[in-house]
Amino acid sequence: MESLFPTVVVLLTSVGGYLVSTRWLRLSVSALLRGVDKTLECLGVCTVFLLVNVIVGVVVTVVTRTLSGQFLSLYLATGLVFLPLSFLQGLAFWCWRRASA
Amino acid sequence: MRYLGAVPILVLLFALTPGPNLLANLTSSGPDVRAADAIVVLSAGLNPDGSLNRVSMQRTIHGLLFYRMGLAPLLVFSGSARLQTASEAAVRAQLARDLGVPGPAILTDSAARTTYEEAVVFKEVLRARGVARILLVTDPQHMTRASAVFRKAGFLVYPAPTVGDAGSAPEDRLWLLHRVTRELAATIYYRAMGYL
Repeated sequence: MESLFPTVVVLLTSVGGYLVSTRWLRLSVSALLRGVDKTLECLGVCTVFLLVNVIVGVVVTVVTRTLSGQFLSLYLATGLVFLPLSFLQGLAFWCWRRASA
Repeated sequence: MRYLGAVPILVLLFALTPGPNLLANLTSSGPDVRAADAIVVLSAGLNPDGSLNRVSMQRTIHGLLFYRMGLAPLLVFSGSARLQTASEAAVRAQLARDLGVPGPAILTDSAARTTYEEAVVFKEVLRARGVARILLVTDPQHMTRASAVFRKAGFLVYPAPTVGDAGSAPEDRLWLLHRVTRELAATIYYRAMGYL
């Protein structure tokens, strides 16, 4: 039951959001599909930023170890904090690109 | 780009299933606890105040339990120091002494900073003492790589993993997936460097 809790909550809010959007805000259902498409595009940009952050992190770690002799753990390059930071980077970049179009 | 965008969604959906737990079981090493020449407890780090972090404490207690069971006459602690604090190995050794382990039964090393370095250091130190069989204590996900590195160093390794992350909450599974992925990347790196 506990493992299903977030899923249930998100399903409820998604259904609620859909009803509010279609009935009160009068958003079209066909536009929802375009919105999903744009969401996937944005998430793709975020994923690219995540991969680049990890790769750059590994390179910085190896270069620092080699050139300065100072030890940096490779685990730092794979920290969970990169997830939200990469998401913010990707979102900002995607919005910037949209605003420039 | 939208296909790449499906990846984080699929990962989140995967975390809602028992998939991460199954993946962790497939990639981790099962225990083979038996009498050995030494119990080697790998490092896991310190808190900023110099105390053992949760993972380090878990590994230390695990090693202490095996010592108390009489599985080996020697208890070996690894772990370097943070700035201005005693080394993790020293903190562990003090805890062991406080819990009744005699000083001569404890060996420490605070020079090694990675799993590979731990294997290299202990290869020199332990082989000189005639230690060939070790009961290796670390996390289940880390055990596969750690065992391989220590086997390459010439030890007969008996894996003694600590209790794994068996949570069923999505955040536990996400954390587990993160650790499994990180260990996979570390294993690829170790193979590329010739450590395995």
